[in-house]
Amino acid sequence: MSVTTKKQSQAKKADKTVRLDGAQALVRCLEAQGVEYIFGYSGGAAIPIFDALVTTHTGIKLIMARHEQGATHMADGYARASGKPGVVLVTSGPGASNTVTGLMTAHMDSVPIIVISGQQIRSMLGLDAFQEADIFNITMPVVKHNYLVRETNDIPRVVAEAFHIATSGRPGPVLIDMPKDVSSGSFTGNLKHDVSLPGFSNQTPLLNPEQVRQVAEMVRNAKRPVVLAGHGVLIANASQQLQTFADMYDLPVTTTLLGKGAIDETSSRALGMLGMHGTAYANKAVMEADVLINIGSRFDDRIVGDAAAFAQDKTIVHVDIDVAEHQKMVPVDVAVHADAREFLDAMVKLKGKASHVGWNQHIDGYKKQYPLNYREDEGLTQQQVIDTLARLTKNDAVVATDVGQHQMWAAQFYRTRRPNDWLSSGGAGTMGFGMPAALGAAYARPGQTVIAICGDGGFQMTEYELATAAIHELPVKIVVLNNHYLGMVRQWQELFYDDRLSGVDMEGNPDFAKLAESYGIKAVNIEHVDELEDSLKAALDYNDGPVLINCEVIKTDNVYPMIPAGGAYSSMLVSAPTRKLDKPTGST
Amino acid sequence: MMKLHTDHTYTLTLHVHNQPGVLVRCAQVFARRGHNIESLHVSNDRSNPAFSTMRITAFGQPEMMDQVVAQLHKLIDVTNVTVHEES
Repeated sequence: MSVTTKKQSQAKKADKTVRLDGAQALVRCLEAQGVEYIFGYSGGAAIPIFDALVTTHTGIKLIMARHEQGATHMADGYARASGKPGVVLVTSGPGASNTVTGLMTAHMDSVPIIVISGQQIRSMLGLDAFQEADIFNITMPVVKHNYLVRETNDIPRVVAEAFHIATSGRPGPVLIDMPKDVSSGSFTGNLKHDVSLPGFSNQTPLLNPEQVRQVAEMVRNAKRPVVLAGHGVLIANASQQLQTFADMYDLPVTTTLLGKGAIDETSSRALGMLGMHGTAYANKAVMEADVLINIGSRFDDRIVGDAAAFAQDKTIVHVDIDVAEHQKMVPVDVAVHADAREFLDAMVKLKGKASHVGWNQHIDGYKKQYPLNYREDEGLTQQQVIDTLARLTKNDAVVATDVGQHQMWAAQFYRTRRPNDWLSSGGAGTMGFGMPAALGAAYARPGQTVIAICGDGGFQMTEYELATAAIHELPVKIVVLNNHYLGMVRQWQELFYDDRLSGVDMEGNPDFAKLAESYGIKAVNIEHVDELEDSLKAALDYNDGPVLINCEVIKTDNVYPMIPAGGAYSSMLVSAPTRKLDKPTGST
Repeated sequence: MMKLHTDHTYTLTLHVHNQPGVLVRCAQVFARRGHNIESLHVSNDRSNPAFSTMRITAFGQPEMMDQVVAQLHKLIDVTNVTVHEES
């Protein structure tokens, strides 16, 4: 064999090894993005992509869920707990449409997830072919952006753009719909692709130093300043800067539901959550504040209630990376278009100082006057279970919640100490989020205690993911606070609809412990207060796999404080009302 | 949606990336908030066929229109929005 032919044959061989189909190119692009896990569920139109996970010998691990909704919440929980984007892979038609709730959940809470869906072949699009869903148009209102990939060689560009869009600025979900003939088509392009998005890069904020000085001046001159920290502080990884800023200017800090962990909630500056079911002292402090500095919260309606009353007699600064949030819910005096960390860094650099001793003492008085508390004389309560979990784990666990009463009590009684330790569906209020999100978090934070706090209603919406937890022996603590009711709706019916209960009785609940055991999962039942401590301890000590803790809690209990939806902070109920209430003006 | 006597008429000029779906994305911003589009004209950008210009006439309250414009700006395929208030 001549030298030349040997070279030629080597080149041919090398060429062969890089010849990829679209799906294999996709996997290489995902590897380049640093993807560790794909949460997915297979199906016909996605077979080439599932096949590429095998043929590429990729290091990316496929976590097979039991339902596409579960897969999206896992990716979401992974993203919230790690700060990295979560990736989902599903098939076309119902596989894709089952991700809509998860996409909407991530969209409402600014969570970066990438959903890749298989699709019918291009020539069949629009012809109502088998498992063809127009997922591109279906998902448009619930994603930050989406793609229908039309050419195999477009895959690197689309993946690069999708990850850039999902993780930059205000994060959000991106869907990539990939026809089967695109994923199985021959790839002849370049795997590397630079991102050029003129319509996106022009949204990058430029911090105005004059505004920073103006805000510093306002904080210094304020008599009753309060900081409201939102999810934006966590996304920007700015909790240390927030603490420094609060210390420099001697400021009390309250957080939104999603902002929990932006400041150590066990520290003296922290007021806990504010809003509809926030602490009385956070709400009173915000009500009386003369200057409110909102950093990275979008003034959700459950924070604001009556917008006119909320904004009355106070100067409001709103720092947000998304200009569309400025002046949307509440008229603000200073709208700062900035990343939370850039803003806080600039504030800290000014080296300003202030003291608000009297004001902080005044708020401490409210903390003593209106502490969070619960009844201990009428049986096992959800609050006591959560309070005990917090004590036994030293507030050091990653906590995922479902949605409803238990979520609000968890927000109140499980004080979060660190960023990315609190995972809850805030904007969308998606029942069924908690348990799969906790599974995703277990992948993101190995070695850390991960707890899913669920109600009996929401748990049943995604309980099938117990199989995923069991197969991968994820040491997640799944706590079901079982009151056999949709408790929050029942609370509203009791308070505002003359106690006419309709559609809230969870009659037919299975025996959750037996259900878990049927998946091979360890389970315990807690029915009495006196067994709570020991049973929880045993469950927390068990780390060989998941454990389900079913707590039979008292059936009728209400979450307080409560500001009826759409109401002013002055209408806050700190305990059960003694008179009949009018129906709230707000929806939920 | 009928025009209320308090409504203002706006003409929005959008410079958009010429991608399938860009019209739907823009239309959804109006529809979700209960706005009708009164008139719509789309033409290809002669200097760069990868882009198009959309001229949209709609009416509504100033605050609502501010939000519509801000949401249009956020769309990845929209590169620029300018607004003219007519009355």
